[in-house]
Order: sequence, then C-alpha cells, then structure tokens
Amino acid sequence: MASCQEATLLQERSSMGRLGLADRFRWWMHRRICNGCITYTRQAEVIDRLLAARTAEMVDTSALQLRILERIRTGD
Amino acid sequence: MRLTFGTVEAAQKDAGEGNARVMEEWVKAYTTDLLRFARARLADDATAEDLVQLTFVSAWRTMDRFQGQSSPRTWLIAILKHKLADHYRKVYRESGNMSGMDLSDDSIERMLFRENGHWRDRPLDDPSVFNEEPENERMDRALHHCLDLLPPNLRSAVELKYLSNKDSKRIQQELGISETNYWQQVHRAKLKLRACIEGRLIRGV
Repeated sequence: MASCQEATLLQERSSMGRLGLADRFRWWMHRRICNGCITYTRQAEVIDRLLAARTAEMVDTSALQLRILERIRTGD
Repeated sequence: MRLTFGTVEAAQKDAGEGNARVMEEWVKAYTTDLLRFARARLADDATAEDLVQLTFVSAWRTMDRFQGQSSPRTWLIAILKHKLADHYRKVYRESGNMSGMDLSDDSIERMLFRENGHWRDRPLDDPSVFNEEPENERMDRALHHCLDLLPPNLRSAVELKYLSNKDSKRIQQELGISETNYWQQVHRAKLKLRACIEGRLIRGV
C-alpha cells in the first residue's frame, strides 16, 4: 500500500499523464482509504487548473507599445 | 507579366510595408493580453515587459512563417511561451550554479509527513478556499504570493510544467536532470504551494 507521501507524488505524475497501470492502481487504492489524500488531490487539481489559466490584472501598455514599435523600426 | 528587378523590388517593398502595418496593428491589439499572460507567470514586471518585447521582435522577424492557421493572438502567445520557457531554463541552470541546488533538501516532506510517510496533519478540507471561481481573488493572491516564495529551481520546474504542455520527458531533457529528480522537484513545489495557501487562507499562519 502506498504511503500518503508516495500517493501525493503519484498524484503529481498523474497530472502529467505519466502513470503506468500498476501505479494508477496503487494511487486509486490509497485514495479509497485516505480522506487526507482525497482532499489533497482535489486541492492539487484546483491549483493545477489555476496555474494553467493564470492572468494578471489589466495595466496600461501604451508606453510599452511605443517601445516595441520603436524596437521593431530600428531593428534592434 | 515578366518581372524585372525593379518590379520585384517594388513588390518586396510593398510586402514589407504591409507587414509593418499588420505588426503595428498586432502590437496595439495584443500587447495587453501578452503582458497579462507574462506578468502572471513572472515575479517581476520588468522581465515580463522584456519578454513581451522579445516576442514581438521574434514575430516580426518570422512573420512570413505565419500561415494564418491560428489567430495572431494564439501564435504570439505560443512565441511568448517559448520565451518564458527559455527564461525559466536559464533561471534553473543559474540557481543550480549558485546554490548547488540541494536536491536532498526534504524539509517540506519531513514537515508534512511522518517517518512512515503518512500525514502529520491531514490537509484541511475547506472548499470555500480551494476553488477556482472567478471571484475567488483571495485564492489568486495567495497562489501568486506562494509562487513567489518558491526557491528558483522549484519555481522553474513548476512553471516549465505548464509552459511545455506538461511534456515531462522534454523538460527533463532540456534541464538535463533525471526523471526522478524532476518529479521530486515538481512534487516538492506542489507540496509547498498547497501548504503555503492552506497556511495563509485556512490556518491563518
């Protein structure tokens, strides 16, 4: 039976699609009996989705636009 | 019509001017989107602006390759992702050179797990905190804050996961590290991030 530490590592590998059948089974078995790892998995998946979809707040980019156009014009 | 040197030159000049007009429109239309994307993934705004500039310069130099199969925004974001990945590969290498990148530092595992590998304190279940509703600004702020607290090598490992479309084999090759080391670092980064967010938003520490 996988420990919680191993199960959290399996969760991370699973999020990148890198789990073989045996590890998928170990991870699934662990979560059947461990509420802590069920919570961890749900929270880690939320973090994953937020990290993938991050965006910062709006800012004024007019000065940056001028610098970019100048840089393109001068071929710098 | 038989093209003479003069007409080829004129056609090239027209094409160049056309490209310049298109690029100017793109800079006006997409700079804000690109900067928001970059700022969300970097700790400092100056680097974000630099990488957005480099993105447009690269796009200008390779504009003839843009086939129009995707939107200009998608194409520009793809270029920006490459620039960000280059940045984090450099940060990763430099952090290794500076600190020796202590891969044996298992302090986060020792803090969270007992010797038998089971939780010391189980993660607190509070769906009102760990959710991705757009109005959950507290979670967004905590995530950014906790990302900025990660050591450079762990931040790079986790950023590359999303910039490289979760292609772990490619990331391992590019960083020159083993599969085990890569998983260990991304795992530690995630443990630290989750614990940091929980500490700030649930436990209030």
